[in-house]
Amino acid sequence: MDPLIRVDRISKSYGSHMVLNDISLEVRQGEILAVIGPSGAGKSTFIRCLNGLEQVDRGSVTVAGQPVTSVTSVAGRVGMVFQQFNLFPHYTAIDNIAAPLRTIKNMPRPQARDRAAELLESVKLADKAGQYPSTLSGGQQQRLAIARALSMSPDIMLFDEPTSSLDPELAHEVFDTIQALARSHMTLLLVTHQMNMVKNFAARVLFLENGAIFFDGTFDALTADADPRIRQFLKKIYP
Amino acid sequence: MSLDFSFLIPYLPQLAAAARVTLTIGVFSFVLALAVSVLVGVLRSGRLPWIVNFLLGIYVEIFRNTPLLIQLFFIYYGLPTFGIVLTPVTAAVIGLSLNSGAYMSEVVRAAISSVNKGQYEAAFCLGYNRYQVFLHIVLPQAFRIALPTLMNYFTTMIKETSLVSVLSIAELTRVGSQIYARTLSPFEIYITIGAVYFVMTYSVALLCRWVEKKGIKWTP
Ligand SMILES: Nc1ncnc2c1ncn2[C@@H]1O[C@H](COP(=O)(O)OP(=O)(O)OP(=O)(O)O)[C@@H](O)[C@H]1O
Ligand SMILES: [Mg+2]
Repeated sequence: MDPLIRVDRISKSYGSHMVLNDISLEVRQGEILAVIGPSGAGKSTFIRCLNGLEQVDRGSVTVAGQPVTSVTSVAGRVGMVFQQFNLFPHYTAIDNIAAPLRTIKNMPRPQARDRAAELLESVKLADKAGQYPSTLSGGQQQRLAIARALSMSPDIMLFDEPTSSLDPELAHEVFDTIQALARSHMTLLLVTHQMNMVKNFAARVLFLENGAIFFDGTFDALTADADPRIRQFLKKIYP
Repeated sequence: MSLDFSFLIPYLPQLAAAARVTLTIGVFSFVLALAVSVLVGVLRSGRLPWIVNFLLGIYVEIFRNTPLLIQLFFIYYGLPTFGIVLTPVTAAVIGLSLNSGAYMSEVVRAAISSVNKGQYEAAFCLGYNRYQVFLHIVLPQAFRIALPTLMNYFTTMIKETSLVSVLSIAELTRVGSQIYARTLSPFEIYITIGAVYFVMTYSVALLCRWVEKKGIKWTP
């Protein structure tokens, strides 16, 4: 079977600073990957290249056979969840989901609202439908952001530190939501510093350092790895 | 010194008419300025050919860096040189709206550029196109940011109408001066005129506050 995501020797620099250095990767449908690594390693830049939010200098990214040249080339098919949620503050919770459906998919209002209500239900926010994002807790906001990304029926979901700005207990709610997604055989790429997330459901872990994939394997293989750089990193975040 | 406002009673109809002129010019000019500012602010925020940006930039800078009085004189007395003859009220409304429009367009532009980059990214990822992002995501948020400042310009506009008295329009300031010339009671007449301005401006301010409260239900 062809891989769902094919990353072929991509590089990217900001000025003279090489942020991604000749990275290649293949991800199959239904795989769940955690991307870890020290701050500044290029994790965010890397996953933003997968949906065209960043343009690569060299190499290519293909998603389901479609070259990713800009964010519009795979919009909707690759969902993204940001650390800072990026909800639309002028829409209520239900409209954060329904409005994009109406604008992008030309869905009639009743259908869009039905679909939005379903998605709110699935992230346990049915009772918050009429509230504006600013009145939701961080965990609720992030779950809403996940539901919104799912509304476009993506093949792939990218998460960039989805729980980093949340208190541990709120992070847990979001964690549960992502875990439910993982069980639904969605393809997931998850940048995180939280090793319990990695341990619990990422079958495959990428360790990025200095813009390169330094390790690609299972969580158990990662913790057993003897490389001093990996050991040192793990000691900090997974003592 | 003894104050006596009773001599003003015969002039009340004249003052009321003048207040109506002031308010009409103020409201018309503000509505036009709002239209100008949104148009210019939006155009200058977009990716248009440089020449468009350049010309709009020239408009904004000229009107922000010369006195309103000179602009009014130019429009009323200067434009006839090019065959453009305007009535005093038309010249006043054009001058006031272009002047405030220039300032207000900068408010609109700043509001648009203050919308978070993450909003664009989230929308693009969902599949919005550039035009849809601007219309559905950026403009409503910019509107909220700009609204209080734009509304302040409304009260300023009412006060600035007093300058158009130089175009011999029978608005409050001019009528006040005429009454003064006839009665020679500056204190009473100018305090009365001031009070009328205050009532109009303060009402507008209250209206603005109401619009802000009713018009926007969300917080960032
Ligand atoms: N727009 C940009 N302009 C210049 N440099 C940038 C830009 N975006 C990222 N960088 C640089 O690229 C490098 C990688 O950034 P990136 O955000 O991908 O790291 P990261 O692994 O996600 O780090 P963190 O864990 O802190 O989020 C950093 O050194 C950063 O300073
Ligand atoms: Mg990052």
